[in-house]
Amino acid sequence: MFHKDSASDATFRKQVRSWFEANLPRELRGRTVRPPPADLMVWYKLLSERGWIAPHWPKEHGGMGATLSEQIIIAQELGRLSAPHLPLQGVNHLGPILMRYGTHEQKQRHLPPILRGDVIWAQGYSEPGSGSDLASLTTKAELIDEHFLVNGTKVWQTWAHHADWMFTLVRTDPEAKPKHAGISFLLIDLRTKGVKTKPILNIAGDDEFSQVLLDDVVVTKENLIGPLNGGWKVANDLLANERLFTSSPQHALEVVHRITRLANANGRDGDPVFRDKLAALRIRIIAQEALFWQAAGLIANGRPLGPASSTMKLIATSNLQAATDLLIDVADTHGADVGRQSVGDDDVDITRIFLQSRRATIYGGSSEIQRNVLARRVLGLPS
Amino acid sequence: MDLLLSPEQELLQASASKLLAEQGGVKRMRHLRRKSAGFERNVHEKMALAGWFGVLVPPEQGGLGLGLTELALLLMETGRGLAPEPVAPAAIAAYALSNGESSAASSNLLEKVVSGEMIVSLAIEGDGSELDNTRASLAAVFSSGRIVLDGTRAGVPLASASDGFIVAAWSNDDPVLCYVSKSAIGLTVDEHETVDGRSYGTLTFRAVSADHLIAAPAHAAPVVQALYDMMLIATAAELVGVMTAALDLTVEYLKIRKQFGKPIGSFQALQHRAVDNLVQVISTRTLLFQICDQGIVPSSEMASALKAYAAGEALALTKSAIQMHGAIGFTDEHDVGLYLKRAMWLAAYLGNESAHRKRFDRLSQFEPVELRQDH
Ligand SMILES: Cc1cc2nc3c(=O)[nH]c(=O)nc-3n(C[C@H](O)[C@H](O)[C@H](O)COP(=O)(O)OP(=O)(O)OC[C@H]3O[C@@H](n4cnc5c(N)ncnc54)[C@H](O)[C@@H]3O)c2cc1C
Repeated sequence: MFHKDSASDATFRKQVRSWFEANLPRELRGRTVRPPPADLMVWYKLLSERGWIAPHWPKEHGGMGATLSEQIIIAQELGRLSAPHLPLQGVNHLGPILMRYGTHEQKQRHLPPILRGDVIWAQGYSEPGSGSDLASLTTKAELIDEHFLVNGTKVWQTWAHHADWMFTLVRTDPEAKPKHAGISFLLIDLRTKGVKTKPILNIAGDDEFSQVLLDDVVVTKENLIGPLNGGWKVANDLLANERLFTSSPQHALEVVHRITRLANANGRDGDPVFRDKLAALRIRIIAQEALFWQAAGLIANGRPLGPASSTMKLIATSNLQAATDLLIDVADTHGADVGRQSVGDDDVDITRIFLQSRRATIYGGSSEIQRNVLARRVLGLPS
Repeated sequence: MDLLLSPEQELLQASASKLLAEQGGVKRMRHLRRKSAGFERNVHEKMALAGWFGVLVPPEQGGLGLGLTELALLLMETGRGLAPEPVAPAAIAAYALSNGESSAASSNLLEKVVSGEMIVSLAIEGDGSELDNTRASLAAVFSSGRIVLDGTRAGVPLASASDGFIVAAWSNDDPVLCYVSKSAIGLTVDEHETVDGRSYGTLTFRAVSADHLIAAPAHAAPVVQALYDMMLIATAAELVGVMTAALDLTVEYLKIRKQFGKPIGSFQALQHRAVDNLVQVISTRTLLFQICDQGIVPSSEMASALKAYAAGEALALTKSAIQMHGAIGFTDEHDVGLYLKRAMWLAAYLGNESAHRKRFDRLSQFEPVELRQDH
């Protein structure tokens, strides 16, 4: 809407689109639940072989070294076919952290398997007692000679029960003040003795996340990333790109596509009440697109996003949830049905999409936490 | 805060802000409320001298030759300072005159609009839900070299105090654009006071001869469309200014007003409310600038999206601003109420949120992608 592809971007888009159409397995398109690893990793590996699994990684590390607009094109074209969400904790989170803070050996060891899809990573930050207040975490790692002895419980780890490794935050100094000064960033092989993962059924009926119990787990010292007690900075140094992509209008637009297909199929598209709601939603997504392209402009010019990422997350998540509200609304009396409903050429499990979208305002810094950040950092309101 | 303005654009905005502050700012507006003209000619002339009304006019016709972003910046300041002068109608009337057919009469009038010597308002709107001048309300008949107008135009800002009007009418199936002076025989102006202390007029034409033609039926359609859509964007820009000022006032108040022994701005309920308002300002302003960036003639679909969004967000924000002020916000004395009232007028003018959602829906096509189909 607010962006036109340059000539070279248009060529790139064409190339990406036709390759996706030819190679993304049909049964993986438009899925509302993430397929199991055996199905999903096929697509991961296809992308990897094509060299497109890590668009934002520099070429020296085996990435694509893509420009920001090429990265956006790839995301858009994946969204266009409702491609399944891949386990990208390694590509998006750990990879950039290793490139920045890892030693030569750590990069050599961990980056190539991430690219190839040989190793699936989980993110082990949250704990039963430490969610929004992450710095209060208590999972203990004691440095004894050349290894850490880790004890504690992590919870809500996406796909940890399918994962091979977990990057985690652990307490290495219980006395530290402020609390975040006693935290370190550690990699844990999930097959190590003393590690147990327990899948947790989520509100949508999927076991997307897990509890990870750590009982006297021995982790060698080479798995420490960055300095001892310096883990907070390592973990929070997220890339601006990453923040941009999580706020992409794509997510809400994918739901709008489904809403329109459903309305076309069941006749609600002629209902003025529905049309008004849809127009309101689409206008809000247009405003989100405006923010997205402005932010992309800032990043492309090497400028920091700063608190704008909080603004964008608030808008993106409220639009996504407004879209899933309308999705069950348009389904009329079928708005509480379990299972897939045929909608034109598409099968959609609308109640599951609705339920899954609840997570958007909870993880990645809840909406309340984003508002706290903006109140302090932009409005300068007192505490 | 998060804009990508050029140094020149920042300078333009700063100088507009300074000019309005020097004239007395919001205090001046307060004194002018409900007065007959509702604005000051001498201030209008100062704006003209600063080039405001020629912002969209090419330099060879005496303008600044800039774009919608610059117009938006001037109007954001107009909204922020609640200036009552008809800035948007003047600048867009000048655009109409410079883009119509070239004639001595048009260029003469253009010069006077740009110099501020004459106040020319826009009469391009039908009444109620008749958005973008549907033909029913004003008919133009060409008869022996004259254009004769019969019907009405509604929502003409500061009509009584204007010298004349750029009028959009319908000749059979085509729009036509012409100029009619206020003293024209057969033209009556009905004034309606608006809640912000200004007024607009309903014009009734009974066999009124237009002074001169600006764009003939064969060419007028795109110009008329552009005028209407530009006015939507201009109105949204003023709304952004109003929102910015109302939020600034409120955040200031949250920091100084104390209850329960601390600033009320330390209460999370109010912090989150204020942040939601901040997000409204940022998103509306960003949408405005991104649309302005698309070129001088906006798409009707986007113009309506923007007007609908800005109207809704501005009303929500200014109401929230009153709430966070408590009783002082409910007084006539406090400025925060002036912003709510200006937002009410700007939201209603040229069609409100509901009307523009409907127009957006009518104009826009949304084609869902066929997932399983190959292309
Ligand atoms: C689908 C999903 C996937 C996840 N994946 C992972 C993962 O892979 N790895 C991982 O480590 N974690 C993961 N998480 C956990 C996520 O990071 C936490 O849920 C998040 O940090 C919030 O913590 P909490 O759930 O304990 O909620 P709490 O922090 O207990 O919050 C409860 C409520 O209180 C509000 N609240 C808390 N503090 C404040 C405050 N100061 N002011 C106002 N309101 C406040 C919150 O906004 C929320 O509404 C995932 C969560 C979900 C839902």
